[in-house]
Parts: sequence; C-alpha cells; structure tokens
Amino acid sequence: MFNNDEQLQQKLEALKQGESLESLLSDLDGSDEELEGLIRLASAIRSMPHPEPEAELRLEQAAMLTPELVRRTDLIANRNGGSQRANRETGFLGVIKSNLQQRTTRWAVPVVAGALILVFVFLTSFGAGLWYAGPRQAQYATLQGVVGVVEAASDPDASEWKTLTNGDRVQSGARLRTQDGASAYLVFFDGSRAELMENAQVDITRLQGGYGKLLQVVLNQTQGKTVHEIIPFENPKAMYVVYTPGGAASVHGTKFSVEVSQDGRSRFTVNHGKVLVSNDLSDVYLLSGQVTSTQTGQELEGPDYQFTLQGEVELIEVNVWKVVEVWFEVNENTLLIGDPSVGDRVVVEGRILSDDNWVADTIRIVEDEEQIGSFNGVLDRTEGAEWVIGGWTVLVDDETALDENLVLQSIVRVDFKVSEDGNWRAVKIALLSSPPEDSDDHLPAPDPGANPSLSFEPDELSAQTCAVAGPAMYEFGGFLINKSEDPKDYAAGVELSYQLISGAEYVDSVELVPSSWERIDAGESGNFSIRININDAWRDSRNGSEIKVRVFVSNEINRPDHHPGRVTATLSNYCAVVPGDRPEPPTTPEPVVTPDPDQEFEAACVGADPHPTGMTLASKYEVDYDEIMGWFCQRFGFGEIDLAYSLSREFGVPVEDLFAMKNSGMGWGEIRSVLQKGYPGEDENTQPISTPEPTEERGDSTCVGAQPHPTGMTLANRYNVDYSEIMSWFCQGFGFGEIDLAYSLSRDTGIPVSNIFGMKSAGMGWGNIKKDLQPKQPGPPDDKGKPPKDK
Amino acid sequence: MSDINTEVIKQAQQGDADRIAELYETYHIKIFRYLYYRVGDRQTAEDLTSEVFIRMLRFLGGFKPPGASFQAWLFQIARNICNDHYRKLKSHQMVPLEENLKDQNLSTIDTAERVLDNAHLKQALNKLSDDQRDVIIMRFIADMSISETAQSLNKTEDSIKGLQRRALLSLKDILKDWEVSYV
Repeated sequence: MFNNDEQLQQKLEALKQGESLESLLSDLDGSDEELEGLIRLASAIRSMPHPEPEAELRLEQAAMLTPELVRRTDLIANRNGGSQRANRETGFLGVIKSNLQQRTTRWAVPVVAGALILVFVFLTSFGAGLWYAGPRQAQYATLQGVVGVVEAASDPDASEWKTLTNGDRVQSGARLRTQDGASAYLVFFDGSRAELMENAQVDITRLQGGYGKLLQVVLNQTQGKTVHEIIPFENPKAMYVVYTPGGAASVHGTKFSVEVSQDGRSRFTVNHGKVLVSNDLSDVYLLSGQVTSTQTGQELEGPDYQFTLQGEVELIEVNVWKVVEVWFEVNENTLLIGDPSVGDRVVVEGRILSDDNWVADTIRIVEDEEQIGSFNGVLDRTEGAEWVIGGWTVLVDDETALDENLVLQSIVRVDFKVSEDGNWRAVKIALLSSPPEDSDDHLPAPDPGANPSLSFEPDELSAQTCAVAGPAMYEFGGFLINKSEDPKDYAAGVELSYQLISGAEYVDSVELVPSSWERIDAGESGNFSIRININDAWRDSRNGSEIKVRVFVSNEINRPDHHPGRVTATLSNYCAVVPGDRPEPPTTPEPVVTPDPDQEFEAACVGADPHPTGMTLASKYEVDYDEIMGWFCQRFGFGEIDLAYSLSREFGVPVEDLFAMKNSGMGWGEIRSVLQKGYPGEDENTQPISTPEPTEERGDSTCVGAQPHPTGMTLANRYNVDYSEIMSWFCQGFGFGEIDLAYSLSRDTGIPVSNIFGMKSAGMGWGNIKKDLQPKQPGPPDDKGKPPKDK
Repeated sequence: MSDINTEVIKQAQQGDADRIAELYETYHIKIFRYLYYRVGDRQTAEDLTSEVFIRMLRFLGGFKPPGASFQAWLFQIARNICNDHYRKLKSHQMVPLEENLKDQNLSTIDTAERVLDNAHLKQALNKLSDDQRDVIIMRFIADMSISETAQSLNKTEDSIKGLQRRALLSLKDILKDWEVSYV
C-alpha cells in the first residue's frame, strides 16, 4: 500500500512539474488502471476552473481588515516608538485597489464589447434600484471581536433580544446592548468602526451608504461607552453622528469616544482629529486629546484636555483624592464604579480645567497593578530635560520614548511616572496632532488689534412642512453680519460649519452656500443659504418630528474665540401620518385591476410616492428629482429622458435644447446624427446639463447673451409670450423644463405663471404644485388607503 | 506554488501595509476556494475568508519563519475557523450543510450530460471524511505541497500521501456512481 501511495505521489509531482498527462499515462502503458484513473481525476480537479471571490468583495474585505491593520500597526508603532503608521491604510487599500485595476486593464480589451451589453442589460433591469440603494454591504454593519453577551433587538420597541456572534449583521433600526464584561465592534463597509464597551446601549437610527464611499451613520447612545474610529470621508454627503441625552457629536474622519452614565451625563473625548459636539445650548469643537462633558439640559463644559491615572488610591480628603501622587477633585458629577476607597486600584479619567484643577469624571476599580499617569496638552517649551506641556513640567531622559515629529505647539499625550523626589518622569510623549500650518498667502495675517463681531440674522429660522414624497430640498437664507464699526475690525478667513442637532436620520446632506468669506469688513454682511436635503424617512416620521441644523462660525482669523453667534434652522413635520393611524385594510378582496397607463402616469407625475426611475435618473445625472419629473410630466418617457441627459453629457448640449428638438418632431436617431455633425448652438457658454440653483442668479453670459437661446425662443413661441419674459424666469434660476411646465400649468388652470413660480420658490415640488392646481374631485381615498394629510 | 518569501512575512510582522496587502493578494483566492468547498456557499465562504485574514493580522506576530510554512499556517487558521463555523451551526440548530448541498445540486446531478464541474465536485467532496476532503482541496485546488498539507493538518507526510490516495479513490467511486465524467 505504501508503494502505491508513493508511486501516485511521484506521478502527481511530475504532473505538477509540467510533464504532460499523456506522457505520464503512456509510461504506465495501461498496466495500472487504478493509478491511471487517480491521476486523471487529480489532473481534472487541478485544471478545472474554481470559483473566485468577486472583485467588490476584495475591497470590502480590505476595508474590513483595515481597522485590524491599524490596531496592529499601532501596537507595533507603540513598541517601536511610532514609525510605521504613515501608509497603513492607504498602503493596504491602495495596493488592493491598484491590483484590481491592473487585473481589470489586462482583461478590458477582449471583454469590453460584451461587458457593455451586459452593463446595459444590468442597468435597464436591475441597475436603477441598485444604484439608488447603494452597495449591499453599505446597508449593514458587521459584528467583529464579540466578547461576552452582545444582543440586538430588531427595533427600539422590541422586547425580544437575540444574542449576536462574530459575522452577524445589523441594520438601520436595530437596538444593540452589551452585558457585563462584553464588547464588540460594529464594522461599517468603508472600514469605519464603532466599539461597544460593556453595558452599552445604542440604537442604530440610520445606517446606509452609496457608491463613492458614501457612509451615513446616525447612532443614538443611551448608556455605556463607545469608541469610534472613522475613516476620513471622501464624499461630502457622508455623515457620522452620535446622539446622547446631553448632546451630539458629528465627525468627518477621526477617532473619538462617547460615554453616557446612568444619570444621563455624557462625556465626549477625542483621540485623533476634530469632533464637533453640540446641544441646544452650546457647541464645542474638540481637538485631539480634548474632552467635554454635559448633563441633559446644561451647556457643554470645556473643551479641556483629558488625563488618566492608574494606581492605588492613596488618600481621600473630602472631595480631593490622590492617585500616583497626583491630586484631583471628585465632585457630584464624578461617576464612581465599584465603590472605590483608599487602597483600591483604580483608573481615573478626567479633565484638566483652565484653572489647572484636575477633575475626575469616572473612577473605576481595576485589577491591573501598574502605576502610571497620562495627560494631554500643548507642548509649550523644551528646556533641556525639562519639558513644559500644558503648563505642567515633566522630565525627559534617554529612556523617554519620543515621537519623531514633535514640534512646539503640537498636542501631545504624556505617559509619566512619579519619581521618588516627586518629579514627573516622562515615559513616553506621543504626538496627537501637529500644530496648524501657516496660513495661506492669500489670507490676511491675524491682526491682534482687530476685534470683529460676527453674528447671524436672524438667529432662528424655521419652516413647517408636510412630509413630501421623495427627496426634497429646503432652503433657508440668512446674513452673517460684522457688527463692529471700527474699520480695523474686519473679519478674515471666515468659515461656517454646521451641526445636526436633531433629525440627522432624515437628512441626506446639508449645504452652506457660501460656506466661507475671505473678508467681511466692519459693518458689512454676507448672505448665505442653508440647504437641507431630506430623504424618504421624513415621510414616515411622526408628527412633530424635527430637523435642527445649527450653523456657526468655525473659523475666523482675527480673535476667533469671540464669535458666539449661531443660527438654528428648524424643519418641523406637522402633517405626517402617525404609524398606527392608517386605516385598516379592506376585509373584502380587491378585484385585480390592470393598471391604466394614464393613471400610472398621473400617479408618477403628481403622486405622493417618488418614482424609482425618476430617482435613479436624478441621481445618475446629479440633477434634482423635480427636474427629471418635470420632463416626465411633459410626457417624455424615462428612456427618452435618460437618452437626452446622456446625449447632453456626451455632446455638451443643454438638455432643454434636446427636448426642444424632439418636440419639433425630430427622432432621437436624427437628433444624435445632428449632434454628431456638430450642433450649431454649441458654444463656450453651453452647459452640458442644466442644474438650476433656485436662489442664485445666472451669470450674464448664460442669461442675457447676445445670441437668443433656442429653447427660450421655442418656449416664447409656444406660449405666445415675449422671449425676454421667458428668459427673466431663466435668469432667476428656473430651468427651461420648469418654465415649460409652469406655463403649461398656467395655461391649463388659469393661474398666473408668477404664482406658480412662487409656489416653487416656496419649496413645493412640481408634482405637488400640479396636484394642488388640478381641480379637486370628490371620491374615495387613494388606493393606498392613506387618510388625507392635514393642511 | 512555493510559499511566500520570509522577508515579506517579516516586514508584514513589522506592520508594513504593502507587505500585508501582498499576503492578502497571494492567498485570499486559495483561502476562499478552500472555504467555498468546505461550507458549500459563496456568501459564507466570503464571510469566513474575511475572518481568516482578520485572525491572520491578529496573530501574525506569533508566526515564526523560517522552517514553518506560512501558507500551511494560514490554512490551519482557515480550518479552525471553518470548524468553529460548524460548531456554531450545530449550536444554533441550523440546517445541516449536507442538506443544503443536496438541495442545491440535485438538479445539476440530474442533467443529461454529466461532466465534472464545481457543483459535482462540491457535493462529492462532502461525501468524504474531513481529512480526505481537506487533502483534496489543499493538494489539487490550493496547489499545496505534501509538506505544507502535512503541516496544516498536523500529520506526517506519509500519512498525507496515504490520505491523498484514499481520498482520490473515494472520490472516483462517488463520481462513477453518479456517472460524472472527468476524462
């Protein structure tokens, strides 16, 4: 038997080394049928095609591996003094992506024709929905590193909890909790992750994503501690918000932690990057190493630098404790975990206040015997062996591990031990954040004598809305005024930022236009718009739901700490359908009805639900949904609209012109042929795709050019009005499609066209405008059985 | 294919992201295939492949070249993760793999012209013992040497040669019963 095993192995090895199967089998000469069969079988298995993971999976896996990679390189860097961090993320993901691209290139030429056909079939059959939904893995987070009992309920009201294990996936709407000693990571599709420590409870109120690394996460943390490591966002619509009872933290790529105690006190700390923390009363921008905390209904404290002490409780004198020879204050807000007392080994986490008082936020009993302290601060001075950090002196010697890139004004973390003579000896000084680079040349230099006073007018903006169908944009306008009177008090390098105080789960994106000014002179002002793009979830939100966006001055070169002004824009849903109020479904079976094409058209054009293909096209060509539906409501099919926008993009011809050509009786093939020969209206000022900006006037070159705009001429002729009248609407930011629709509605209903544009300017969508203007007909509720919305 | 350069592993152990990416690129398809033929479905195999590399990163510092084969070590991880997966399935009283495979592949087996393909192979491998199945996958799908396979399965090279022959014989008989051609 052994000889047979060995003989087979030798033949297989020869096969592996390149000898042909025929040659091997001819050597056997039919003498060993069994061996021949085994070699044939092995050869067949070896040469048959085996499955491969999909390319998309490789990126997904690479993204999932990145946090572990970061952790590993951190460990190694800590051990080696920090040298391997630079390319850990970009290097790893970059290599995987690069390899994928190379592989794609090699195969691209022979398969391109087939791929185009497949892509076309895919897009027409499935692509629309998928594009809108985003990549599959973006809609969930995967549990990793599960320790102990980690549980999930499918929704915040559920009473049944399911135990989770590694690899389980959770989606928007889930409530998660960890028991004593338990922890787990939530890994998102872009590699960002949230670690739930023991006894934490978190609701995932929003978790979705899209192509282009668009991750949108909104968490509501009611208890315990979480640590978040967010891969820097590349997509401006990406968001990551953590709500707590005391305030909200939002980030764009950073590492931070959030802790909520049982009495509702919230504590936010930042390990790396910047985090904006807000509540109704105040905003705090946290930098690396800083911390803020608050109680529900109170202003945020700080920001302060954080400290940690680990060791034995040496003394307690009323409200002053001593650990590792460091005195600190314990007050009514300090959370004591495990009832610590003198002699217990503890970890103390707290804040160094601006008056140099050290105040403990939490003290917990631990079993670790190491005695060490650490604190964060700005590296003020290095005088020989004495370094001053945040006003505190530590001794640096040959054994101190120093990060390579330390410079004065860096924010650093110092690990120290107290020597016998009472000095603090630095064990390690790690860089948390480099000092900001010098201002760009074009920006004015800070003027210490200037004292601009920036404030918003008004400081409260609000709107009530019925929960409209589909994505919608609401716009608020305001002014940022420099109220100073002395000309030297100009504000320079002004930048605005925003924070979603509430309702982030309903918001797709927020735009501030403009979001910066190079200079606002004393007495001058700048106007700006807050555009809130809301999503479908708003429609199903409870009556009274609110979206609150806080806008504030995040940067200004002259005396930047002196601008407390802010403006809050609030959008309230006052007529949403409250879940449970929906009428009972009919008890008698509904007859099967073949959809009437006209009814279907009307439903899509003026109905409450967004049309998925309309949504897809709006997303595909990055235009408003209403713009797409404006064409659809003019009886252009979605296929035609798709083709028109595609041609517009390909040939640089305004889409309005293409529809005008179609309306003139040309076929699409004919239109393409004309474009290929060179479209006569093409000039430097032609915009490929019209994306009207409702509040901004168009530039003169597009608006009142010397040559009449062909679509403007067409519309003027169609509705028998002056060309200048059409162009005046165009110059106010309405697209030709919208103008066409408005005049058409005006003609059909007798309502003045200016009133119709007024409705649009007030924020209504064209579908709703058309619905409102149509004569009301008595009849049963709509086919979805929804009750009429309150007005 | 021979094992990866020990210098690459050393650099990966030092946290070099490019070298870690190289390890992933070199082995992830093999690991995926091993897991695919072990668990029977693509989605689970994808998930488990991720777990293998996460665990690889976590324990990379504990791997000691030279002498040991990195590929063998990685397959040991994959094998352990796969066994954990089955234990979890058992504790959650989920549908046994055998039934899944049967349901998935009966229609394939019943086709008129039966030529060895992934579905047949997957189902046939499921009829073998764990060790026999692992040997077939590692030797002829992952293209591992006798020595590497022996290291992965904690067996001697001679016993792997014996397992290899018996596994091929069993597989041959199964395919013959199903009238699946592989010539």
